[in-house]
Amino acid sequence: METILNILREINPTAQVDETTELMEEGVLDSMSMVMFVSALCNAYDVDISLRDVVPENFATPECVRDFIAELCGEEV
Amino acid sequence: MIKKIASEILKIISFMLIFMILLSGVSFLCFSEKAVSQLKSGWQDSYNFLSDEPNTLQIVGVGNSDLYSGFSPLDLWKQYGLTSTVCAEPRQKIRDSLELLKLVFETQSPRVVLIETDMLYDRNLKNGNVRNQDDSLEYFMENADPKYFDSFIENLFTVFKFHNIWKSEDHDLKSKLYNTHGYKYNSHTYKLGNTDYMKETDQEEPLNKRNTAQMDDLLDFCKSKNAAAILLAIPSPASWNYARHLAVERYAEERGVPFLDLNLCYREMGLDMQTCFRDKGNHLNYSGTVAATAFLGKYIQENYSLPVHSGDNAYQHWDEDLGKFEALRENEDLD
Amino acid sequence: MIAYNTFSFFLLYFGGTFLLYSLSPKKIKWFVLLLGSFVFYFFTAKGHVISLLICILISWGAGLLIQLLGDTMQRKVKQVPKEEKGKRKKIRDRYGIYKRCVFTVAVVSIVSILLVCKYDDFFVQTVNAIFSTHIKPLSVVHAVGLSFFVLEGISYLADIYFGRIEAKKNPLRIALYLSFMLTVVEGPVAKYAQLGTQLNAGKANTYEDVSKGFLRVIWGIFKKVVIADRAVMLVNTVFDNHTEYGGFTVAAGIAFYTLQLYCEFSGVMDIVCGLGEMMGLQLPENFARPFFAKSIRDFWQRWHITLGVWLRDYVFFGVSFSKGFRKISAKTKNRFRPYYATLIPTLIALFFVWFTNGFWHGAGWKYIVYGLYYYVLMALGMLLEPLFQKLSEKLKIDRQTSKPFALFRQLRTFFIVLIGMLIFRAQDLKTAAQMFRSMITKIDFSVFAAGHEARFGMSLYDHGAIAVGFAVLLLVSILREKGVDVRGKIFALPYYIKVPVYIAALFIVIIFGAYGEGYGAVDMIYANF
Repeated sequence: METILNILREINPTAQVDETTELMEEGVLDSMSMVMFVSALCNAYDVDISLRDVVPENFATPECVRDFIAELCGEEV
Repeated sequence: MIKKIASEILKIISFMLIFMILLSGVSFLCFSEKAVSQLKSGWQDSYNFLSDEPNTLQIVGVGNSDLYSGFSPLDLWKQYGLTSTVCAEPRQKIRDSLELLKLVFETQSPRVVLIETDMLYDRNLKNGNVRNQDDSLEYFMENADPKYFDSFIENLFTVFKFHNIWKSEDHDLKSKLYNTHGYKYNSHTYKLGNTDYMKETDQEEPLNKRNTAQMDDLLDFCKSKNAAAILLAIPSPASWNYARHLAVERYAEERGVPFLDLNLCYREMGLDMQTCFRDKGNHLNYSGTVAATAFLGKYIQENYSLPVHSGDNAYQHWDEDLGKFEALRENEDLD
Repeated sequence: MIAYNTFSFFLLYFGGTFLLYSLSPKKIKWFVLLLGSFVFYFFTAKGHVISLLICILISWGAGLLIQLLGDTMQRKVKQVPKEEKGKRKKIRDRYGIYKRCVFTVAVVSIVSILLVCKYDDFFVQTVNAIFSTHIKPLSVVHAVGLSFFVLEGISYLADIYFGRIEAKKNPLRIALYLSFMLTVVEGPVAKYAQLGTQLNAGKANTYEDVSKGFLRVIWGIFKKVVIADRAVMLVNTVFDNHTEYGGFTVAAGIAFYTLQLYCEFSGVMDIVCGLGEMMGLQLPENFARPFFAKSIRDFWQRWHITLGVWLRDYVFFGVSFSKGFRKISAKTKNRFRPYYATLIPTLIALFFVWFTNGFWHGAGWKYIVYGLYYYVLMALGMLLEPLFQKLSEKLKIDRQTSKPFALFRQLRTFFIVLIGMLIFRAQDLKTAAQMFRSMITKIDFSVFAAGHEARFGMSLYDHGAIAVGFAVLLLVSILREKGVDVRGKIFALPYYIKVPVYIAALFIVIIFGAYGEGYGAVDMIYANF
């Protein structure tokens, strides 16, 4: 979780994020920073995230992101 | 529940009815043809005849912008003492011309009707192709043309046609020259350059069946009113050529009406193509108009025995209109 | 040229459809819409309905095929036991390739229709210019709405490909989505989930829908017919005779054009959305008071919104998530500082977005430059962001809360947009440059000179009408920017007050509209796309 939150803070320094922040709804991420975020996640966890996966269920909050990545990796994050 | 829906539908229907009643009322009271003709502006000149005393007009012309830029009733009056009016608007169709003519004959009994022939080619495409198929689907499509519906509504509620009246106190020179009896004044000169647009050829440019049918109606109407129809082509290099001349000449022969093609009469009119047009060879300017009007006047004088009214007290206001026109022309701001 | 603001559209095509729709049972409402749309398109576009039919066929066929491939893949994967991950992956990869092929071929075909019809003149001319050849272009007259229904077709296929929606079996449903009379001519560009489902749902329209929708239609007509169709006269005079003018006159020409384009396009959107609302449909918005924008990005999220969304979802994300692109961003990660490492791939993707934006608007270099103009400014802004940050810290300006700074940003954006409009409207790039130069070097106050209004084709009354129209527009925009529901408030008025208000509004539009004698016919600008 910390890794995810750190990435978010790097992309958007002014936003206050925690595990349940609504990323798109609260404007933490927009289309461009979303791409940067996904890219950073791919690098950090060595996974392959495609456009099909970028849906609200997976990216609504940092919690959702963690669960999604866990599923991809097949292990705890 | 049903009561609610019923009351809502009622509200909608009553709104529409109120609106339509108001549309008709406003159209009739403030935006009618009659209201427009009384305006002292060059607006909707085609209705000018409504301000003329009944049974005083001897000649009426119908056509599109070629006509209102090429024939000047006041100049005809000056030279020949004949009264006339021009009922022409931009891109006027044959059908509209017939409607206007019918309106004219309600209060006037002109003996001569000038019909500008540019209207016969208004459905032709620029590349010379003609939508002339006998195809029944084509005809159906033409009949279903939404433009007819639009003009139907416009004529039903004339407020749509004449809503611009509120703007009519224009400072534009054109509009100051009111009571030009349908002629729209313009004195700009455009140097045309060389053109042999009336070079002889054998090919006729075929006439559209629709247009000839409507023209037949117009000619029949003139006949029914004992008025002599003359088909007239005002000089217009941009919208005329020899091929069209041939087609209209044949049409005129078949119908037994005279056809005056001024595009072949530059020399007789004493006109130079370099100085007589006001735009890219589409419309005559004032000096071109004077010459064309003189030529037409001479033709009418020689072929139709119309009484001359110059000096006649009953027609004094024609002298007044002419005087105002000439005075304003002299003070024209040479832009 | 199809015009929405004609009696035949309102009373016949829409009127007939609306009446039938309101009276039909739920199950056939969608069919009524389809019939009405096709009658409208066929009678107004005539033979050009072919490109629309081709697009419908490709979208429907390819959509079903991609869906079928996806379902088959799932079925086959399930048949393999979970442990055999390798085998499962093989199936996924294989079907992935099939799906990608079908998707690519379908999208390329649809785009080709657009390229052939709209851009072939441009391509041929460019080739001729570079290679001194004399190829003759096809000069196919392109169908009305081509640029719009092509975008919708692609979005439908992409949404199926990326698993966001299911393909529709009935081709008529897709036909309705792509040819819907209210969106086919000038948009808004709607996704299938937004519009298609609604169109097929057959929701009943209520009195409120009809009443509020109608008010919005009147508002749209007001913007287009009273303001836009009037402003166009000055715009045309200045731009068609640009060598005669300079200074303030050119500036006025640009400003009036901006006003004209906004009122015309957003006016038509109001008409179309209002008519949709009268039938209980919510079309996506295309405008959100764009001139209150504080940055270029903000502007393009308020102007032609649906195009921006389409570009974001299908071009930006499409490029950013593509394999080739990921490789590039992996490379930059190690070469540059963190801020730039993530910025550079974004900028590359954005290039495609803006290039497409510009190119979609027109077949010409001018339009490409138009798109790239915004791209360059935006990229510069993003690249220099760390610098701006340091600068504002030094000057002690709080960029988030400072009101003067917000105003500065709005003005800056406004001027950037005006120059963009100059490029967009001028005949070509050379003319735009010349006009810009004459604007800042020539002194020309003729636009203010009394008595010369006629030269711009407008009388004093026309200027008055624009001024009043603009004032009303500004007032309503400010209210809406603050969140006031103007239409809701009017609707809430009792019937005997509402009727006079509506009728007064209608008469204002009828009497002060810039149509008929004295005004040229104005084609809908965006419908030329």
